[in-house]
Amino acid sequence: MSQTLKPESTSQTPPPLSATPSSTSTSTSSTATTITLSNDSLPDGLPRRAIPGQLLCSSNEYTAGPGTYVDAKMTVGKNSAIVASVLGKVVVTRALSKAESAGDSRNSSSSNGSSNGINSNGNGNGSRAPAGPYTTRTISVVRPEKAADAANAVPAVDDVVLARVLRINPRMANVAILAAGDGNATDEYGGIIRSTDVRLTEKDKVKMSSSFRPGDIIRALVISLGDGTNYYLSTARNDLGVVFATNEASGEPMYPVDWRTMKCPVTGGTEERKCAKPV
Amino acid sequence: MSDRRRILVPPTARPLTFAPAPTESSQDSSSSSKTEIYLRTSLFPDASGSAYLEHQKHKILVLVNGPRPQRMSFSSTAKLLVDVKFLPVSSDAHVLGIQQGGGFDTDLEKSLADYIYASLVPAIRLERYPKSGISVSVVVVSGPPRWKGLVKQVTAACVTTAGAALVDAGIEVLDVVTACAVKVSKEGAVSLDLDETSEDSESVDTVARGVISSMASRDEITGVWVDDDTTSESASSRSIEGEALVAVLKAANSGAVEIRKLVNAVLARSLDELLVEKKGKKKITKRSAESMDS
Repeated sequence: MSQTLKPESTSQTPPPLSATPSSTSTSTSSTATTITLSNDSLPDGLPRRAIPGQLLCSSNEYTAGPGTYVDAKMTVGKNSAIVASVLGKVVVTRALSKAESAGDSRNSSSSNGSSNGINSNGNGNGSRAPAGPYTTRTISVVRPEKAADAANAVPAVDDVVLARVLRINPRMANVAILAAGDGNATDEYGGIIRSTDVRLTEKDKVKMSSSFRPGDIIRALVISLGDGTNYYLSTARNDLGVVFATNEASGEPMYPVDWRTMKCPVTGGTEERKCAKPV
Repeated sequence: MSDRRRILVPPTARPLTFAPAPTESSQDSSSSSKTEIYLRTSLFPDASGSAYLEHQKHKILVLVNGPRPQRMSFSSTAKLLVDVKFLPVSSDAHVLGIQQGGGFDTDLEKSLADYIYASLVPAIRLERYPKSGISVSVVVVSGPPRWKGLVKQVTAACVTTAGAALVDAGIEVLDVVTACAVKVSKEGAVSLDLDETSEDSESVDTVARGVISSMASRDEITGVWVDDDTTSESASSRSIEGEALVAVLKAANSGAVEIRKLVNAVLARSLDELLVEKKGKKKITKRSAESMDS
């Protein structure tokens, strides 16, 4: 095929890329069109940036993190490959122990600019060996944030979300999820906190009216995708519950006194809430 | 009883008529290379993702919004919604529609949307976005000057643009989808169908046209649309099957792979721009906010 496909440049400077149509495939086995983005790469010869569909590494060397998936069809040697699924920077995180080398911690800290739910805490059994096959290293592709991303968080199970209480009845509280994941906001997803999910103990004696009030901002855990309209949330943990509430009389924000009382700094009056433990 | 549900036109309204388009086109397009494609992503900051493609007279704009919550019955995966619109000015497509009895050529829009949907769905990791909807709006700003027989070209351009826009929206995909159109000559030779102006001179030779959508890295085809060239008199009842069809698939797929390389380069550049201009963009938005105040 002799055609030429030229991207016309409107940007000021041509970027320093090697992703031109020629000389594009990497040495991995399966495909013809894996594109290497940049010559400077991560320690293990990984590309620094990835395009969806780009083969990153073997699945026995790394665990697939956010922005990647394990593809049984593409292979690296005998193992299935980890492939990028979003456009972004390649980030490697390890199950860090304190004795881990400096070079590795640099890699994991490079993710803090836009941490898409990447855990660097891991399970703590990271070995000293830099690249042993049993070290748990997670590879992920982190997309640079865009302005429109703020409205596009989808709550997932086990996410801690911020929500506003809309209305309560003796069985449950209806809330609107304001922020999910990494603080991305959307107020279109609804949530329900059932009375049995408000706290861990004495579930049968929970009074919704003394736990939440409409207008409160709460921190809650997504326990289930729920039904078509609502997620099911829970505040049955010390760090979950009301984080912001205003006093009924004065309208002032109140501070928590104990786990079930909030106090107004102006009037001194107290109201009952299921408070989140301040952090 | 008057119809209160619709806003009716004034009784004196007349249909819009457009001034005849200036008849330049064919000369100046030959000056530029026939296979040059312009593609750009992230044009619209308000949309989750967007892409714009120009290839000869084709001008395709795709906006992606989502994932967004859907208040419908529970679904554990995202729902993809594809919507194709031809702008009234997009060449003679609307003329065809009006001749057929008013409105736009909605059948064509629908079949285009169906094909784009089928091409994109296998690539998107829908299971990552439960209870959500992803909407892909394809706007054909401008099509070829003579639309007939070139639907496949437009389709290919739409699929490629939509694939890039999905990536721009940050939606998790298995691979970037690209598409390429091919045509089959009377002798059975398969060539890439990239040149809209060739229509006049070669229409006698072309007996069939097709478009292939593929995920090039995974070497998977996500969509095939091949049929007789209805504009050509020589099409007759010739069918494409067996080895001829394989040849069509192979040619179109290799074309899609070539286009994929272009898309990759464009995406890589947009990523670099995003990373480099992150701070600069903040300044710009701040400045625009100030100018709105004043």
